[in-house]
Amino acid sequence: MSLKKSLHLISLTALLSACGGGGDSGPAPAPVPSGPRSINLDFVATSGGTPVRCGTEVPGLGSGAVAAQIKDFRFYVANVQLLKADGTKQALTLGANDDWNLTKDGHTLSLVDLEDGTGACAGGTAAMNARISGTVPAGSYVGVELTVGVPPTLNHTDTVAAPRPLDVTAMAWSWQSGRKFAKIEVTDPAGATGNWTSKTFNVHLGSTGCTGNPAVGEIVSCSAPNRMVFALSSFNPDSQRIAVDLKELLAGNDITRNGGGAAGCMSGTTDPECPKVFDALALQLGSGVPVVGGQQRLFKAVAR
Amino acid sequence: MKRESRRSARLRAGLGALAAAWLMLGCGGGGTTLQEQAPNPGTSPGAGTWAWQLPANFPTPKVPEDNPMSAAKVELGRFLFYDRRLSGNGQQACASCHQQDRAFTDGLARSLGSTGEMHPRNAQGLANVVYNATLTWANPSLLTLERQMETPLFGEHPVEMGVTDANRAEILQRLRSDAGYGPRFATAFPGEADPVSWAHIVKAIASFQRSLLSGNSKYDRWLAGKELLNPAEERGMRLFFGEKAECFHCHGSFNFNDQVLHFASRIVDTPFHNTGLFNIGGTGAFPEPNRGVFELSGRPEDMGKFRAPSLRNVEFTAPYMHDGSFASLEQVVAFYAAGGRVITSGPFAGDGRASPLKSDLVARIDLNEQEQADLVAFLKALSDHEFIRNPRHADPFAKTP
Repeated sequence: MSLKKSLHLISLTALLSACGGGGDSGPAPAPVPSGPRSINLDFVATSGGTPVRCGTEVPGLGSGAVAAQIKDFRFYVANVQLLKADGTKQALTLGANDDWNLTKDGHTLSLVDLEDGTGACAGGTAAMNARISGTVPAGSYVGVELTVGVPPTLNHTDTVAAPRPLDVTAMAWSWQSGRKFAKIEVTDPAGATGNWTSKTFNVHLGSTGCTGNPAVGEIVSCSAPNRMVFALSSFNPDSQRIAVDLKELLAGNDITRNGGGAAGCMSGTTDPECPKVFDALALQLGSGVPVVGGQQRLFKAVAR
Repeated sequence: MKRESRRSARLRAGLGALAAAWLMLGCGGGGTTLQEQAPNPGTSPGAGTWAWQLPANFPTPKVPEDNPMSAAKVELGRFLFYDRRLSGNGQQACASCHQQDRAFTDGLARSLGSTGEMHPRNAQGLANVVYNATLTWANPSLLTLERQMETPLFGEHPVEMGVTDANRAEILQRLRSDAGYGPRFATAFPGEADPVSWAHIVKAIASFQRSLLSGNSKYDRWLAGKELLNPAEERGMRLFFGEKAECFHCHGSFNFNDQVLHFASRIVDTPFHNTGLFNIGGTGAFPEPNRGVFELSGRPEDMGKFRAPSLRNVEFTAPYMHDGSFASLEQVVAFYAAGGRVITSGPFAGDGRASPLKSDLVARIDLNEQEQADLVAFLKALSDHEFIRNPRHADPFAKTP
């Protein structure tokens, strides 16, 4: 091995472990960066590991292994933290507030939008957002912790007056005076002429059992928070991205029919489709808290 | 006759005391039919003043601090409330399901959205909605008209107005292209570079809704000593407020309901009730998707619990109950007289009278035909005919005759 080639390798290793892309790897070894380090968390919609998108049939879903069209694929991610080998956590600092990202009241919030408004996603938006970008102090990180949900102080804000990305009407969940934390929907690929007895299988995750105090005009509590808090304990944002797996989300449910309650699972505690969905999310249906020692199956670290 | 009128006077004195209690809680104004409030909590400097014109015995309303009342907002809100351009496909206005001549209901058992989708529930009246502690039929989390409005505007299950991320900018453009709206928005929301926004639309419509006060029924005029109730109405009133029919437990406030919020409220009860309308299979169950607070909370004890609506103007708001189960007031009164509904066949069969989840306030009261007719007569004395014709609440787009 030539000296030049080995130096290239060293520099590449340094990049991977320390700074996450950018910059040209010259012939000299790169210095260990001391400033903030950029992190890009990239998400990809998949089914059984294969990337999927709106407008193309996704085969093999649900208990009947049927084909479906994606109708929506959006979710909020709050308070991303990077994990160090010693178990400590470092909050990801988002950039300036924009269409997709918000830092407010001590929380960070991003809307991940994996639908592009085509095909059965026509009710969605052409714009997508598959990446959460931010910075952390220099250091070595081994994993990532995410919350799928909107923090309580931001969840019950006015849709029409709230800052981006809380102003997206499709994510408004007015019946619980909050937001849909996740809106993932699949529909009969043959549309009206198809044979699904219930045309759309919706997964709407959000806090339920919310009550307010009229004297002060505020939501005071939701009995079931339904926020997914989970870690990918081994995750390298430079070499990996986060797959959101439709097959796991819909596993075990017959997505062509509705056994009761809302079509699909809208977080209803007695909805017959919810137990299997919540099982995939490692959330307790009813109390709405993560299953102790549970392992969610929706999000996975996969190679870029 | 003489004895009758003494009893009547005694009852009026008693109800007057109730009303006086409301006044002390709320504002302490005079006892005339209309009273001006000064100073006015909830006025907006710079956007026109607002003086509540409150019926006698009505407390000062509570208005969200970030949306004080102004005459300009109410007027803008009136236009928007009646404007079909506010729906995605331009087919429906708020007023489509909330029609003034029906005390802002629509005469349907269950309402239809702008795309033809049927709503599972009955459109509610808007008279005195400013005093509601919670909104809609059964939602302990909906506290303000501003937040409630997100449901008809943006709701997808079912679609009502059909406003989406895709069309909401276009709808604003429709309004901007109407020369009348520019000045109205600018006056209602002064000092804003581009006042035509969804936040302002919602605030203006909420302000208009808060202006829909109704307190000039025959009963109110009787309370003020200005008019006599006829014997049937008076007998019905005694039943209503008496221990036999006990209607007042859930409909006993000045607004004839039991969830009331006003300016001086400190602790606000928000009861919801299962009245025995269903008892599917003897379990107390109500049919989906109309299971009341249970739909939100998932708690078994919340099955079939709905908010008691105000009975003011109830004569105009048929059909009745959350799902339009009853076509007439006579049917409603017969239902309460029986202490529940019996459904003998079909998927919803069950004896509502024996529901294990029914409120203990709804018992069989064995009212005879005369008594039921008297109660209906009293309920009709709660009609405010001026309210349903008040030009300040009327469609501003209507062609003048």
